[in-house]
Amino acid sequence: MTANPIQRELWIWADFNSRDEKSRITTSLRFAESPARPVEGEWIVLHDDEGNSVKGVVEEIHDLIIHVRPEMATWTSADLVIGSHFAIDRPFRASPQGNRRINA
Amino acid sequence: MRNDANSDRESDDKEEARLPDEAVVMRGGLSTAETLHKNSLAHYDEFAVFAISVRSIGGLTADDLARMDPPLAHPRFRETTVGELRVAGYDVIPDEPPPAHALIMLPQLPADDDYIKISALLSDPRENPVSRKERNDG
Repeated sequence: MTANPIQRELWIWADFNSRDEKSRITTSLRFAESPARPVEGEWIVLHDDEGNSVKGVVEEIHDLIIHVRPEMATWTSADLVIGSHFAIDRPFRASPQGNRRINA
Repeated sequence: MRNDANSDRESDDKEEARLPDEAVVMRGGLSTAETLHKNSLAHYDEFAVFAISVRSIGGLTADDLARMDPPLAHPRFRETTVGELRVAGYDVIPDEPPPAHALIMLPQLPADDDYIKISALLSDPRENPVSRKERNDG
């Protein structure tokens, strides 16, 4: 893993099911936790709402969309124990945010 | 104007590309309604269409799909079938590459209920059959 060209570590929400044609993880900067935009070649941290995260290098940026090559050796999971009720029966909104609590 | 032979061949190609109702559809992670919503928003930002990323190929089990390259990284996954989603009003279309990538297609203006319904159609979470070492090597 090469050093980050910029002294910062951006955390951006991603759905790890979303892979592009080059098997990179794709997500939208609408879910970035800070207004700072990553640059191509920068190492960032992708995370989901379930305690999973991975470091990766930004290979492409088009407007809001970034394509990140994950370094799977850095993958971590929270191994949450979840109850059986998954469908959220209340209104919800997805918006830029930090980690959210999972129904446990 | 297209001739009938070309038209038939295109129709055959589409039929081959269409996922069968019995095909398993799986997603890594817990797929809460909120996560599905965020995934569809990210897809919209790129393609101007609301859709949810899944893995699906006719004839494969969820365990098979988890092992496809790149191996599923999540500790758990949930699954359903193309047919169950279609009955609920959501088509599933192949979107390769990468292998097995597919999309649950949403209405032009999806509502919260769409995400709640799709999340409810998914099974209880199961353990990912791919070992942690294999996942980290992927």
